Amino acid sequence: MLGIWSIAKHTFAQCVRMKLAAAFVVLLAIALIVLPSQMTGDGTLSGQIRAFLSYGTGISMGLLSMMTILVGASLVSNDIRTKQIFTVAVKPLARSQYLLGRWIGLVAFNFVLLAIACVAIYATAQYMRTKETTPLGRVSISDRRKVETQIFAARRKIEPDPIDLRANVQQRIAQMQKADKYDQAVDQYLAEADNNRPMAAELLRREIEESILDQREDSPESDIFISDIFVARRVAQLQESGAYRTAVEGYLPRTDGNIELAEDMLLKQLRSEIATNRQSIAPGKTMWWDFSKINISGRELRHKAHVVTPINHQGLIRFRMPRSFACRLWRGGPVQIQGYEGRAEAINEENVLLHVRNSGSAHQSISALAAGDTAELIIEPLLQISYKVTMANPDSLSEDKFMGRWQASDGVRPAMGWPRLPEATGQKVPISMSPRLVGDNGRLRFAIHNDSQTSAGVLFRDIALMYDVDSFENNYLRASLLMACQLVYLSAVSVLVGSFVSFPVACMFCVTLIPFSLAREFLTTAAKIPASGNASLIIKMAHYMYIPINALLPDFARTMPGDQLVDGIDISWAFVGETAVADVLIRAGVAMLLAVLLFHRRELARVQV
Amino acid sequence: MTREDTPVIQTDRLTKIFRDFWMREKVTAVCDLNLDIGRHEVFGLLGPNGSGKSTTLKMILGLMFPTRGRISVFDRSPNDVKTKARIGFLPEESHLYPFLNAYETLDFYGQLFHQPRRQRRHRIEMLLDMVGLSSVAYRRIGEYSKGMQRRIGLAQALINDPDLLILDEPTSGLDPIGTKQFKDLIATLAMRGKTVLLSSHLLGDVEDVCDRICILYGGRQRREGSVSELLAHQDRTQITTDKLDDKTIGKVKTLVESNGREIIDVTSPRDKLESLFLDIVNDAQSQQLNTGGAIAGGAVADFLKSDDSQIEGRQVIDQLVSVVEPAGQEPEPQAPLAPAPVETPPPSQAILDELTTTAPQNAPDAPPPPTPTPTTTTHKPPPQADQSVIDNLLGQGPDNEGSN
Repeated sequence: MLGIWSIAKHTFAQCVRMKLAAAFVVLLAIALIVLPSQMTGDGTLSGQIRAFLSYGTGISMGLLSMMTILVGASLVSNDIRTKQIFTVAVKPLARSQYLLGRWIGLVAFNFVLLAIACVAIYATAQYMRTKETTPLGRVSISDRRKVETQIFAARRKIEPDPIDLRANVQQRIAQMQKADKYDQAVDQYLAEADNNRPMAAELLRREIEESILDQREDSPESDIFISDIFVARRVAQLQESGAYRTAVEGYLPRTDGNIELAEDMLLKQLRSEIATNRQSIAPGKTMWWDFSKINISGRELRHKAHVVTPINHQGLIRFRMPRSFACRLWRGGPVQIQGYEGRAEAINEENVLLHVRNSGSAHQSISALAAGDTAELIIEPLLQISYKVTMANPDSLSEDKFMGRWQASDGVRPAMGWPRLPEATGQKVPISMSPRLVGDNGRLRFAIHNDSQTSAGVLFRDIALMYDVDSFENNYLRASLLMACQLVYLSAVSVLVGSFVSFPVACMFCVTLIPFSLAREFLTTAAKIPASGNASLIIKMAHYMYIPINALLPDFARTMPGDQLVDGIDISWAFVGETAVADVLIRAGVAMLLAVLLFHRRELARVQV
Repeated sequence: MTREDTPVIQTDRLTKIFRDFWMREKVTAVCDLNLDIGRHEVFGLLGPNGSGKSTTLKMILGLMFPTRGRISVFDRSPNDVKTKARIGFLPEESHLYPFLNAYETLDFYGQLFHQPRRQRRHRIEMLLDMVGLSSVAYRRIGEYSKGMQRRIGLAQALINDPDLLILDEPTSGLDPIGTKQFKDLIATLAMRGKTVLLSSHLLGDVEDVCDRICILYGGRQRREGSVSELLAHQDRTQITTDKLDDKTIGKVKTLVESNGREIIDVTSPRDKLESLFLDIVNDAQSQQLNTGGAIAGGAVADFLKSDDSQIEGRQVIDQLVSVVEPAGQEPEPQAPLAPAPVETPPPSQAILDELTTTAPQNAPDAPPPPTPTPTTTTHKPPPQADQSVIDNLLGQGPDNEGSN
């Protein structure tokens, strides 16, 4: 261990002496000074901060990744090229210790630079958070609310539950069997199944599936959910009409005349169309989404607010409080005043008008508060549902606006009314609601009713439920750890490659790795052999070659925390742990193991005869 | 120097063949080399460029792998960490990290030997003093001249007080002061029973310091043996005296010829250029003239020229042994110190008189012939004079007996 430690210290000193740290800090400083002034986003404060966080983390990671590759690739290869390895390798140091020391030293150097970058970005973002004006003018309360609740937050994002069709069918069959109606139902299909009972049972199962789906015609469906039934039904329609062959032939130019591939493409297209159609809300119809595993507890905000105007006969009382606190209230949202129930009536800058529910002694107790007194306010955590509506015919100006209403309930207690939705389309819209709507079982059903004249599409992936689970600072720390994991992996790979090829080749290899890692998911899909098994030789070769590469490549697009930070989405410790295990322990570990094996057998001196 | 039974370095049919990309044999750098280097030996590898000297050293150090044959160093593989803990290596060129200064460089290499900080610091100061770089210890190596880099390279090779010192072209790039100091160092280490293996083109240096040499050509071993065996002209005798006049030389000639021998050459001995150079530099240093380069190094570092116990105390030794020596390994027995060179008096005028006058028939009280003193401080035994001629000159030979 002492040998590893000595080499690691030496590597750290080497990196510092190479003036890399100085160059990095200068570039980062330039970026952080320029970015806030140039990256104005949509002009709002939230847009500015989002752009800054996105570009700031992106540029920092870009600089650090490039530096890691250049340094990591040079450490071992340059030692061999300049023969400095001669004086090190003959010391009482195993080759594995030398490599590990190099890696650890580089990782330590990366961590220091990453810490500098993260602290600088955090400090700049916090400074921007305090700005009162933007190029558009004074920061509005809605803009401030976005900053506080959608950026400087750590919100858990829950996607709607997919419909478990198989479980639903099983449940329905079990109910029929319990009522002794199952056999009777199967009998009805015997004629169609040529008296083959298993086939009749299968026909019944399909019928039940269709029945369930039809009943939920206006419910959300994902690609996962879309049953092959609909695709098969659509194919049958095309075949009956004679359009199937024509449709397949339409894809032949793109498949070099391969009919099987053309059929695959047609099926994909049909599946996509069906999925889109089944995620649109027809005029006058309602679509709902179920969310589960919601756990809101312990995230209440407490604040001592100053009374501006004492309570009046209508039960209204005005408080003054910091904007960062005021903006977490929403009109109609619940709030506790000195332990009594109330709700926000109006929020204006730092003044908030609250209505105290008249429950016996509440008014009497709160009326004791005079102007200038302080009272403890408790705001419940914010529960938001974010959705995006797209209109079926956006070209028509008259139909561009979406008219709709929403409702949320736990499915047990009586639902609230149907408040109107904003008319915005084509952008994500957050709706704030009380966390009390969530049932004890952690479930919530959210429904949208379409009052427009045309269909409105709400794709399954465009709707999510979010609520605060942690602080921005903790989330930022986890985001930094994710970035650190990437750097640890890149360090290992660059040391690995630099240990057996020259510096330029090692650099080229490692730089190529980054776009591959960013496009990992796309490449996996592209190289996937269709379920039918029909694929060209090239695709098959790419598929089998890509399996080991895929296993060793991390998914940088998934673990880059920029998007989560920008949207205030919580990065869970579980995800950080999973990334650390996959990218650091396994992938970087395998890279270092390979490096040790290769370096152990490498001759460190060259032919000189 | 005595060789103990267990060899420090042993190679058996060591062969290194370099192949091209298609694994075709390109060149045979070393072929069937058998070396057997014992403890306390100063062994020289000689040969022209491309004869396989450096390749042999690199295989002994584990930097290259042999194509065939076997190497053992201290009875272990060259790549064994325990083996490497006892080796010091100075490569042909000092490949050091240019961003470190001399102190940091030695500190880094000292850490790799797991030396305690206090001992490391102590040794670094002594080594810097020894190689004459104390005054520039905090300048970056990248700013050093080649010779200064060689000196710091030598210091790093000695940081662990190695039992086996391997030197590849050690005097390359060194000025005569450094070369002289290097030879002194080899002598000191040899006296302490260390083993030294060096390769060099500079035959004079090798001759001065080596006990045994091996001459390579085309990767093959051509000659191997002790320097005295290989270089001595067994059929000739050389006597050096104070300046003799022509008359005396004539008498000696007559005497020699009367013994049936012939004087082949009579010349005044010349100083070596190295000696003249060193005198000039020593003179300049005594006047304390300024220089931005290396100054003449100090004496050999104490920890290298005597038992550590005298310098760093038994406690430090115990620490060193417990850290550097692998667990369970018996500490290397300290070699008995070679006897210090004995200061011998200058040749007595009486003896010269005897040589140039008629020798007494018997001179039982005459002092014994002086022991020839080597010009350097090496422990190498001086060339053996032909005893029969000396006896004759002293009048003790059989011919004189006959004349009685």
